[in-house]
Amino acid sequence: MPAEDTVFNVLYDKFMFWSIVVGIFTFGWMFIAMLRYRDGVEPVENMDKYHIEVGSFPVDSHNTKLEVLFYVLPTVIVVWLTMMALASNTAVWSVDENEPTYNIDIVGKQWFWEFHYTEALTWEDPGTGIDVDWQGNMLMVHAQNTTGVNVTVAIDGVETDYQLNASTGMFALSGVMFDVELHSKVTVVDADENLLHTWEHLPVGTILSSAGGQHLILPCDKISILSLHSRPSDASNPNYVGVQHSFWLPEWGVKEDLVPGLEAGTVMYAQPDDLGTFPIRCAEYCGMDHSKMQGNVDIVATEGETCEKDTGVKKQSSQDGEAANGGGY
Amino acid sequence: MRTRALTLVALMLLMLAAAPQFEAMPTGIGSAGDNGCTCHGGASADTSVIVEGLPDSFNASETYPFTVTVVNDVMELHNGGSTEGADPWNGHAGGFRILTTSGMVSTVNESLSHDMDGGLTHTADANGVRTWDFEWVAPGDDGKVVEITVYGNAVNGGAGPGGDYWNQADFFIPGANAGDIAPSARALVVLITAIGLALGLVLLGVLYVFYARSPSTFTIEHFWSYLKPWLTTTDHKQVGILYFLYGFTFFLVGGVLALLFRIQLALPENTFLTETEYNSFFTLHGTTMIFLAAMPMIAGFMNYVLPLQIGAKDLAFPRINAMGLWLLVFSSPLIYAGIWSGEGADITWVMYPPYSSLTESNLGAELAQYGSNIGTTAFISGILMLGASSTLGGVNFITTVFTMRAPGVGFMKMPLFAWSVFVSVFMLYMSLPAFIIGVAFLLFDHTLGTVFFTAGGDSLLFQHLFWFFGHPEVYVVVVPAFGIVSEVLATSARRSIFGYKSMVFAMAGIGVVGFIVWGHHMLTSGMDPFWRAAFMITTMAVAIPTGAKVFNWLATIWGGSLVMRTHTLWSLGFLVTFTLGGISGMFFPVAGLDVHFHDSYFVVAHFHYVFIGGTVFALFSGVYYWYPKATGRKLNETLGLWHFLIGFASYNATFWPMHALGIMGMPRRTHSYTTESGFAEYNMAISTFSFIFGLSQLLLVWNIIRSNRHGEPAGNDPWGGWSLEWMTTSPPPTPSFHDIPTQGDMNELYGHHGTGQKKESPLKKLATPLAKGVEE
Ligand code: HEM
Ligand SMILES: [Cu+2]
Ligand SMILES: [Cu+2]
Repeated sequence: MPAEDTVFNVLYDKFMFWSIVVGIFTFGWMFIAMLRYRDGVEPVENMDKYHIEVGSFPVDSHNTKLEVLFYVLPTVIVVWLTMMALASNTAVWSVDENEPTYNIDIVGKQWFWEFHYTEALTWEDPGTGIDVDWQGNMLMVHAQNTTGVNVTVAIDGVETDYQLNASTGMFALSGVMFDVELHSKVTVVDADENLLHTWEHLPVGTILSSAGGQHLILPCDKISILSLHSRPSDASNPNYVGVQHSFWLPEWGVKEDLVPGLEAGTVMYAQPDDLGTFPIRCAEYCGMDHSKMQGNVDIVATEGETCEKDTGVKKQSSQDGEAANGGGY
Repeated sequence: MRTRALTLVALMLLMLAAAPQFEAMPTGIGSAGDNGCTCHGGASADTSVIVEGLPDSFNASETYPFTVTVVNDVMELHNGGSTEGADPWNGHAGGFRILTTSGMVSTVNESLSHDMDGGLTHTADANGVRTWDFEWVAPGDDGKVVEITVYGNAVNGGAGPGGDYWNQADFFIPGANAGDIAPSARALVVLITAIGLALGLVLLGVLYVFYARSPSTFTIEHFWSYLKPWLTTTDHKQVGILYFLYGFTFFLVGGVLALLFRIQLALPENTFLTETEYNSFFTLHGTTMIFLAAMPMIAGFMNYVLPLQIGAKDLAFPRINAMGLWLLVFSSPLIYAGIWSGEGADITWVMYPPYSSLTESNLGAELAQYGSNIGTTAFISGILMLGASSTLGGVNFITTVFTMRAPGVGFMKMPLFAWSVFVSVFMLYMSLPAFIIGVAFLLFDHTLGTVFFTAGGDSLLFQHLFWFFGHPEVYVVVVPAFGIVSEVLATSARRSIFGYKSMVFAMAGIGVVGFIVWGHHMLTSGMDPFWRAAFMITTMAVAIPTGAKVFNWLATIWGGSLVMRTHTLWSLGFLVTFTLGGISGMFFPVAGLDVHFHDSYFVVAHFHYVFIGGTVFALFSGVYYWYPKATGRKLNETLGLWHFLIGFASYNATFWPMHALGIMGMPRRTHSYTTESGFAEYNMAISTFSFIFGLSQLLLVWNIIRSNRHGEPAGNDPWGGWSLEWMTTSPPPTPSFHDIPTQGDMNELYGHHGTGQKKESPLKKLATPLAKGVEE
């Protein structure tokens, strides 16, 4: 179900409104006609004027003005709807120049997704009362007044467990240089191993895959520019170039096909502005396990940010700005 | 007499028993064991894989040594096989991969192999030679049959896989106590058996129908003289009836497939059907419903009614007409053939490549799981035959309408059903070439090794070719429905249709605009923004003539005097559901909405609203309307009323919730969904109602069979229609008119264009207070 502040939702509401208007008019007319003009319900004068006789074309029943009106009415509605919706055509496939962006490559294979990071991402849970700070060769964890007990530091997949200082709620580790090229992750858990806080750095070149249950991680409050490519699951046969998939993020109401053989790939945009985990689905039939080709996307706050901005489409503003941007969408 | 019939039945049973037994093809699909091929280059018959030492049958847990040798004397060795020079033949000569369903295979020298993805694969150390020694430890259970597949790769020593060739050898080794291995049959034998079986069953059914008509006078000679004219007929009425019965049968078959996969979807994470079954069932469902059910049923009406309506003795080319029918009949076994191998076609009714052009034959056994099922090749051939059948039909109907209208039946004096057939057939005829080319190339990809739509080819091109046909195709099936509804509503309201000319223009308009909207099916395929906007605008424009048609129908019943017959009810039902489907259709061309809706259940809801609520409801209406003409008897109205009430209600309950599922994010063509997704409640409801809808169709089946003998006799013109088909007897003679009739024109006698009595404007009626009607 797409979120409130998506292009989809704003447009859907408008279309729903006009559908209901058209529906009330058409169905109102239809049901009254059906009920009122039944045989024997209302005496109808002069049915003979049509001269329905077998073998002869009956007298025309027509009214030119009305017939023209029957073309004009739908035309008006259609023109109105088209004008209303035309802007969405560019809106869902373009980026606002002033907004910050985040680029990532999505690769679809039979039958899983790979997320190739082309831009580094450092993120940290906001609002947990815990702060991880890693500068140079000094790693500090501030967890005062929390139930945190243990700290795990994973660098390039190698995990080391440490304990927070029980009295200060702090932890300091010196001598481990922060390396922008290594996948690093610091997590804080409480005495029962419940995860309290995560800090993670994903360097350029990180590949996460839904086959291993990994989630796509995207920063919030930035327009994510997703480049989509379809690739074969096995490169040993040159005939096999991969198949069509479609990357669907129902939460933002957007999808785009992955077209094998299209070197430039296709592109789509999403603008997450709330933390959380949301589904990814494959929408284009791609063979046996198409229905299993699912994944999840985690929306996270970049280090130091809180993800409290509302960056999505505003119903209010799009209506206010209608005159300015040619009808909005 | 009776003994003869019984002998015949016994003979057929004997045939059934003697039919060759067969095993489903070994699928291997779905097991990770097929992953990770180490063979490279191409498969080639020049390479032979020689295996010595495997036993004919095995004893439990015994160890059998065997040798594998790869031979390829014709391949070119890299660098001429020289071991010297700057780029020497580096000694890479061969490789192997062995899969076994049971027991353990290993190389005698352990360093030569390792396990990979559930099979045995060579290491680099084994590369230097083309012969290796193995041991197979048989499983502890000697009651089963073990399948061993040996892949041998002849490598030329080059850096890349180019110029390497591999082949495979398969062994089925039964245990000492395994009993006989079920014989496996060739696909062709299976196919022919299946066709023979199906024909036998149909024959049996017809035999029974004939026998039941008059058991006392039944003889086989009578039966043949009854059957033969039907099989060899070129009369448009008989061909029409055959078309309809064929289509209706497949409507039920497609419905059963739908109910099967609705069972699968009723519960989350269900395993009632496997993925392969689910995928081929919905593919066959879609293809059947469009090409084998809707189109033939429409063709049935076209054949039967069109010549009668325009006062023609028959169609222009009666023999070509019969040929079209039989091409269609024989395409269905091809389309369904794959089912008997356990792997029916699974490429969806839109057949998008590269998936649809990838199969075992161009991917190789190891990668076969990534390509389409083996039934696909036959399926595509079947589709080609359908294309041929439709093309023949097109030529025939266009010629008939142009040249065989009776005196008085001018183009602007044709009944609206005749007009709708004309528009529909024209659209079909104009759009088919694109489709046939696409499908033929797809078949070449399967059989000749071309790559039109895979590596180096263009898979999007197929989508364009398909939808250039596919979109007009959806109008091909819905425009005749418009025609039927126009006839039924006007007759039932006892008036002439409101705005005849504007109805004709609307249909012609749809026929033209329908050709420039195909891109709306591909809005999310990376299309250029200009074309997205263009296709959006053209698509929205289709709503204009469609809206005009709906308003004209409403104006027809407004002020009329509706006689509520079953066919009237179905046409009124059509108005409701088709309008709903039309409104939901307005949501798709809009980019901002389509990026969410595309390929979701919202689409499934929409097209069932226009296909069932549009085409199928109108066809039902047509059945009740023209059945008396074809048989001389009316269908039972009580049964008809129940059919409508149950069918209409359960239909809406089945398909309406699909809109919600689509918005929630359920993709179409989905074998299963998780419990967390929250789709379960709606799906359960949909599945339940779909069964009611499916079962309600049996009322129509029963009605058709029963009324043929017990129905109320109908005169020439039971409903008060005016067009020429109501002039002849029911059923009409053959040829349909002994003397070509002349159609009169009441406008000439009583017309009052601007003169005479002024008609009351329906607008004024609209404005009159409704209280009167509501009180009634
Ligand atoms: C008992 C009545 C029917 C039921 C319950 C039913 C149900 C369904 C469902 C649930 C799907 C979606 C399958 C999926 O995407 O996984 C589907 C697909 C489809 N149906 Fe039906 N259907 C019925 C009758 C019809 C009829 C009468 C037509 C056409 C005249 C039709 C045409 C199609 C087509 C074209 C598809 C698309 C197949 C594809 O995706 O390749 N169906 N049906
Ligand atoms: Cu998929
Ligand atoms: Cu279309």
